[in-house]
Amino acid sequence: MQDAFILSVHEAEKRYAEHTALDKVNLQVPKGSIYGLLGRNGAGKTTLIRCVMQLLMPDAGQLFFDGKPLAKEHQHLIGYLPEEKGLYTDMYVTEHLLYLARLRGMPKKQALQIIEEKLSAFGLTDWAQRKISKMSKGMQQKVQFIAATMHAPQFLILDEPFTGLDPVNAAMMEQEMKAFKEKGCSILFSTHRMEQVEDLCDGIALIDKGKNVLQGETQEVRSRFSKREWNLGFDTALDKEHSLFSRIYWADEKHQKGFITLATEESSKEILQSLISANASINYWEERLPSIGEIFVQLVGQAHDEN
Amino acid sequence: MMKINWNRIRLIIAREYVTRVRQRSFLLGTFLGPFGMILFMFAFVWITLETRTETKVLVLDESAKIQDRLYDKDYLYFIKMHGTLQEAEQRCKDESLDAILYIPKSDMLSPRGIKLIGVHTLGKQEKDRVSYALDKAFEQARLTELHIDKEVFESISKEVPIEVISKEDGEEHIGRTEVAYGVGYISAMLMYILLLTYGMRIMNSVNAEKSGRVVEVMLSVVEPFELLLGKIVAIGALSLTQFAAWVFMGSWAEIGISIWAQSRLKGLSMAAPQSGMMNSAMNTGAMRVTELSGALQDIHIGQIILVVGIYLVLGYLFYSALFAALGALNNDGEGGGIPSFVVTTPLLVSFYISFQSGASPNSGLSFWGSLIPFSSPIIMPTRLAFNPPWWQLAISLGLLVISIFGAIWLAAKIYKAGILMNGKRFTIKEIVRTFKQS
Repeated sequence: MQDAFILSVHEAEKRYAEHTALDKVNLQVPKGSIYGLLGRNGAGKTTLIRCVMQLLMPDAGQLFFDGKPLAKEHQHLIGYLPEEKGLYTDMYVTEHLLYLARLRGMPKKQALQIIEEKLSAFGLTDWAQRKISKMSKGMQQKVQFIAATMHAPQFLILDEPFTGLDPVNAAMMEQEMKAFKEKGCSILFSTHRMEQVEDLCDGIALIDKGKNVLQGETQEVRSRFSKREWNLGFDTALDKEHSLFSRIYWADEKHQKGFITLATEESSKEILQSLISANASINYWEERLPSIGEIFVQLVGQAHDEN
Repeated sequence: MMKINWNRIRLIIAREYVTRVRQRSFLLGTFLGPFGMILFMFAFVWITLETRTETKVLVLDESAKIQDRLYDKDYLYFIKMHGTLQEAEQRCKDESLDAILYIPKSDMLSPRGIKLIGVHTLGKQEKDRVSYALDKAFEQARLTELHIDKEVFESISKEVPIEVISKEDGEEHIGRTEVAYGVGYISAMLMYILLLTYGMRIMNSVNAEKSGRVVEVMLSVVEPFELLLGKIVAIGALSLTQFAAWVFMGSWAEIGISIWAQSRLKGLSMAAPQSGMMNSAMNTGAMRVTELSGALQDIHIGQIILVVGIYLVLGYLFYSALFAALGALNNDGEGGGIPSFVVTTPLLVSFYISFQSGASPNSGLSFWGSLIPFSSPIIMPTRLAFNPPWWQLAISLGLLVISIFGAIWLAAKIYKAGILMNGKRFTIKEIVRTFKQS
């Protein structure tokens, strides 16, 4: 039976002698989506990823891959990129990629062809026969990405994929991730860089101290944390004596831009109509949603303060 | 049930082997290491010879019966003088001599008052050499005084010869005890050094891999058992390669030295064809070599080398699995985990037992030591030259083979549990819990 989720984690628990890494964590990654796993250092992201990779066994809870209990045979359907140092630096680039491909059972000829194509796509053709230890951190990250994806996995797990990448290479990595999504691959990635989350992720899960803090579709999560603030801009000069205009927080008075916070009983439609009837020439009107970064700080900061 | 993929193990072995063989450190260690070793030995011998200083002893013999019987030997010189002790001290100072040997007049059979007065504190070796020369001088003087013929004395103080015969399977084997002991001792020493060195190499390799996260990628593709087995076999093969290279180079060096030595000996015998002493020494040497070679044949040295080789391979597999587990449990450069003496102690204890085993190959300690897998790779080889019963050998090998499977199974579990616990200390309780789950 086909499932809507490529990965489902139910009540996963993992305890160590000194701390609890996962405390009844739930996670559902829809098929064909890019899903962000957010959390501070030590929040339990890597432990959760290791459980999904079956490197660790959870003490309790269940994990499902495409609706079926996660098992060994699913490993070859998953691609994995650890945060860093996921390469044998004493090997040559092609040699390393070929080694991993052959361990996955790929025929040598086919593997070499794929490696050549991927290296070319990432601008690493000149590095094919050079030692990995000679490469920059960003280049090594690209090689790791190739290693994780060359067997065309259904599900890709990327642990901090943007580490060490300059803006150009980060953009390239984003494009690659989107391209994989286009091909139907589902992606779970952990990151600290919140600006990429909004741009890339269809959904997010935030964990802290091994517990679920937040989960859902990116836009839905942002809406959930809406402070009922609306951005607006005007074309013409305004009658600042108007009661509504006095409520506007002028972020940029010169250019006549600002935002207004709506009361609970007010609807955005009513306010907009009132502004128009006051002869305000409005050129834009949009809800000002908090960024994922702001939500992250708000929630994790709260949890931190509570302790 | 874990499904082992031998093709993956083959790929892992190839990678682990090839990447290490081409490392500069391996090439330097293999090809320059022995030269460094030889150079060091030469330097040691050279320094020993060059720094050997003369010891000059001024002999003040009031009895006048001993001084002519003290003979110079190997940088030890006796200088006779007559006079007082004060004069001797002065001469010692003037001529930079090392010591005064003062022999007062006394009874030859129970002499008293003999003194060795050093200008500086005499070393033990110097003192022993003077003492030995003095003993011999007194021995001769006493023989003269008691009118005992020297040849008669030598004949009555001869050692009583004893021929050690081992009667096994109706066949008599003569005089092989010392050779067997020597073979056993060399085997034990070799086994101890190789198992420890190769084991440590495995441990360091696992530890290094743990410090990165490549092991996570690997374990998402292969089974821990496959990775561990591949690593063990590859490093074993690497060690054998290095060993073979050393043997090869050593053989050529030996051939070269033999040719050089023969040409030197030939030159010497041509230069001194009438030297009866030299011929006699050469004949004696040749006889010893013939005896040794006979004894070696008698103890079936070929078979022993084969069995020692088998024990080396099996012992390596057993101990390398344990060392690998140890490497997985310890964090690079950090405390905590399991200390390495947990694995090195059985090796060390076995090595000490091997001395006892060589001296008393059929004792209870030797028997049990050669059966228990922790010690059998070191102790059984010391007993091989003494022909232990075949059933003991069979049990020993059988137990070792079973233990290898057990050790690798155990090590793979510990490896999986420990290899991901990087960057933090962990308790035994935690290891056991993770071990049960893996």
